Amino acid sequence: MSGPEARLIKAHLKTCTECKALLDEELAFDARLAAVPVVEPVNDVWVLVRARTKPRKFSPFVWLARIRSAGATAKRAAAAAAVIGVAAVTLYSFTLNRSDLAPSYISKGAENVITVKWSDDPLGGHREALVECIGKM
Amino acid sequence: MGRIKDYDFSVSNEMLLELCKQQDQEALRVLFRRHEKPVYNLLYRMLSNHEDAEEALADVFVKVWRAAGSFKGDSKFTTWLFKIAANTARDFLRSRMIRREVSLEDGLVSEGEVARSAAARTVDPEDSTLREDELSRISAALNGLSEDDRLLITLYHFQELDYQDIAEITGICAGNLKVKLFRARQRLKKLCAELDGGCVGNELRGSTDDSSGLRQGACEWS
Repeated sequence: MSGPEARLIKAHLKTCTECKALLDEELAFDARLAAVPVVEPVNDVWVLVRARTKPRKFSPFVWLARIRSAGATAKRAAAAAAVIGVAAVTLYSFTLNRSDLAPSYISKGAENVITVKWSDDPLGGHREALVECIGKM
Repeated sequence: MGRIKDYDFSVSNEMLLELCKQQDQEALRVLFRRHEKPVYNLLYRMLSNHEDAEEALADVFVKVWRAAGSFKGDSKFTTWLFKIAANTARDFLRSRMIRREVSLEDGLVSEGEVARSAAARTVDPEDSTLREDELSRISAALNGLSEDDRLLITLYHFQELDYQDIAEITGICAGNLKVKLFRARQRLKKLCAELDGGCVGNELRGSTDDSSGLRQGACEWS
C-alpha cells in the first residue's frame, strides 16, 4: 500500500477501535506463525540424491539420450531432415516405376521386328535369347 | 568442474543448473546444499512427516537433475524449484493417501518432537513446554487444512514468498490469490482457536462462510 491510501488507513486506525482491534488480532496471528521454527532434515538426503543421479559410465544409447536432451531447434532440424529424406526416396521410387515415361521405339529388320524398350531389366527382356546364344558358343 | 563452495553465491543457481544439464553432479550437490532447507520445510509442512519429507526432498532434486534442460529462465530458479516441490508434495499426498493416514494426533506428536529439539536449547523448562504446546497446536491446525490451503499458508507465511511467486507456483491468478490466501488464513485461525479451546468469537467474524472473503460488520470508512 502506498501514499494516500496508507495515510488514510493509518488515520482511520487512530480513531476506530474496532479496526484497530482487528489489526492487532491479525498481527498477533502473524507473530504466532512466525514463531514456528524451521525444520531440517534428520538424515543427509544428498546420499539418496547422489545415488539416483549417478551419471552412467557407458551406455549404448548415449546418442539417443543426447538427442532427447538436445534443444528444440535441433529437434526441429532433425525432424525436417527426416521428412525431406523420406520425400526424396518416395519421389525417386515413383520415377523408377514409371516405365512409360522412358522413350521407346521400334526397329524394323529384314526378317524380324525388334522392339526396344527402356526397362529396369539389364537384359532388356532378352534373357532367353541370351542364354540360347551362350549355349551355341 | 572444480569443487564449488556450497554458499559461494558468485556462481548463480542458473549457472549451476546449466552445469547439471551437462551431467555435472557437483553442481547438483551445490544446488542441493543451497536449497535443501527451504524445500524440506515446504515438504514437511505439506506432508507432516519427516520420512516422507526426506524422500520427497530426494525426489525433488532428482527431478531437477532430469528436468534441468527444460528450465527456460522465464521465472526465477527458486520459483521453478518450489513449483517442482509443490507438485512432488501433491503427488506424495495423492499416491500414499497420507491425509487419511495422518491424524491430528500424529501431527501433535511429530511437531512435538521438533519442539522438544528446539526446546532443548532453551533454559526454562516451563517456557519450553508452553512453546511445545503452541507449536503442536499450529501444526495440528495446519494438518486440518486442505492441501491447497496448506500450500498457500506455507508458501506465504513460512517460505515468505511474494504474491507473484506464489501465483506462479500454484497457478492461481494473482487477483484470486489474495482472496484464497485470506480464506485459508481464516480457516487456519479458526482451527487454531478450536485447538486453543478458547472462544472463536470475534476471530471468526465473516471468515470462511463469507463469500466475498471480507469481514462483515466492519465499520464504515469515513
